[in-house]
Amino acid sequence: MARALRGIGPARLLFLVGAWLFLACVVLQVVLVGLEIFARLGGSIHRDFAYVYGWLAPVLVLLAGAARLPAGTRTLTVVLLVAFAIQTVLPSLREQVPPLAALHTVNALAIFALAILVARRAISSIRQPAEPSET
Amino acid sequence: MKGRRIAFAVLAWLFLAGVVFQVFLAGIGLFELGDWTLHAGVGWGLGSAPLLLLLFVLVARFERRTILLTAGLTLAAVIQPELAAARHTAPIVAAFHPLNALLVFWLAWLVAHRALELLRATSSVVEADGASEPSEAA
Repeated sequence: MARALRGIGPARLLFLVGAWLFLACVVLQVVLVGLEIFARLGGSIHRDFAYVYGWLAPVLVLLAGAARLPAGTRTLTVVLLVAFAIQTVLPSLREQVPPLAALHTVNALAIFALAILVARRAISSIRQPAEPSET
Repeated sequence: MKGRRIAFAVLAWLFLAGVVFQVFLAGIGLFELGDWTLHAGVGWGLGSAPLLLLLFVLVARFERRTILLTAGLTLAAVIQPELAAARHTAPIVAAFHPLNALLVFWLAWLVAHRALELLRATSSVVEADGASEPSEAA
């Protein structure tokens, strides 16, 4: 493992760590929903936690660019960021457009799927050479 | 062989669509656009649906990886409504209902993609056989 990590640029290494940390946070976020609904965990820990790790989404976009990852992976990180941004807005539409607010749960599945794809691409990016710089 | 794989792929993708719809119904309940009756009703049906998929992969003698994935999906789907039902007796256990939903979704996704891979592999074998026929005849 140590040998595999040697020779990877810091941006790729940070992208790998960030991508897996983001996925772990998404899973933990879903555990918190369960605790709030079924175990009556007080407060708004589910909502607050989203703001704790949400900054990772734009950081992944920046790291994917800095690490010169393939265009497909960079696009995935942007889609993940957009899905995450939409996710934070959806519950607030509860009064104005209730059916859209109900998509909060479906969008959570999309974020989970995207986070898995990004995390898997982060692993495969370790074995790939960086894309040549355009400049 | 191809017919069985088409049927398996159709079933697997229908189940995945059902899981997404079920999660939408959870959103309906959470945001109080309706009650939980539909989510609960669909949940009990959806919980036993992978048994059909499992029966299919066993009868059709698919390879080990597909059988294991489908068995895992079946197990996760079967316990899913049971977790929700435990909310009065064991709320901490019931709290894993949404997490297990992610697991069901992920496994359903893997099984659906595996079904497509198997279908593509069959198609390419059939095409290769078709392409090699003239030379064999010659």
